[in-house]
Amino acid sequence: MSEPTPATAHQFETLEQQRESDILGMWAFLATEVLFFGGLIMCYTFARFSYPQAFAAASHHLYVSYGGPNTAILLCSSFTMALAVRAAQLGQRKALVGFLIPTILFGLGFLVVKGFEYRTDYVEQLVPRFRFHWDGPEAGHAELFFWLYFVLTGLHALHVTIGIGVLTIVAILGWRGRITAQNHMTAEVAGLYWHFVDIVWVFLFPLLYLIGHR
Amino acid sequence: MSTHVVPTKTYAAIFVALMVLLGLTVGVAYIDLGPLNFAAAMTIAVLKAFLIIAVFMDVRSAQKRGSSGSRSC
Repeated sequence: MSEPTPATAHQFETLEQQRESDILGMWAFLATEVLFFGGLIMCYTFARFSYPQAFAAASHHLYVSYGGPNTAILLCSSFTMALAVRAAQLGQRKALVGFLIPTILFGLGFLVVKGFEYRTDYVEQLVPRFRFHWDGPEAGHAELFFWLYFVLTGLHALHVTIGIGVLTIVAILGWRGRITAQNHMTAEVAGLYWHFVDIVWVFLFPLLYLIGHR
Repeated sequence: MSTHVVPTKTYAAIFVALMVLLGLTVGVAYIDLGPLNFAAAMTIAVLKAFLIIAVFMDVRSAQKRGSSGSRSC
């Protein structure tokens, strides 16, 4: 086991204080993310209760066979992420990297499925403004649903992409022995972000995919 | 330095619970419960978020740490 100095930055008295500050900082950032997605979900909720039939009909055009497995993929990634952070806490370098790699692969898998789904949406003419065709009534309201769908899932996919980048950096640092039991905050904070991105999807999935089936 | 480590078993149990809840939320969507469909979907989503926050994001043990009073400032 390598033992680089437990780096306490000069503004902190103890490692414990630094640790708490790191975590608090990430939670503060996540709070702003909640406001960010919350505003959009508020728009969605308002529109959905204004045009319930159009939204149900539009949601019916999304495939649970894409969204469902993708939810499962993200839940798997959260599980391996939790195990990676645990390995970091215990200073297990190989286990840390060994759990980060599947986490990254699950993230990539999610994006690949999402890509195929967007392609299907394009083929079925469900892309607002760009390529949209609606046969039923309330075409404008259905289009609004797809605006919200693309903005919400697009921003979420952006977060997944950033998360993959962050986890790749953590994996490289871990591999180089820069993350130790004493100083594992990089992994812990990245884990908080990743789990948050999973939680966003946990809400998006029923809101977007599951309202038109009964 | 008191990093509390959660047992792997706990993470596995939460993972299984999340997958079961995912199955449940899909299943419930195909049953007509009227306005309760929305309530059920959101209740399950909140429950899943709670499990992730409490265990995966380690808020549960962070609270224990906080209340045991290891603060130094």
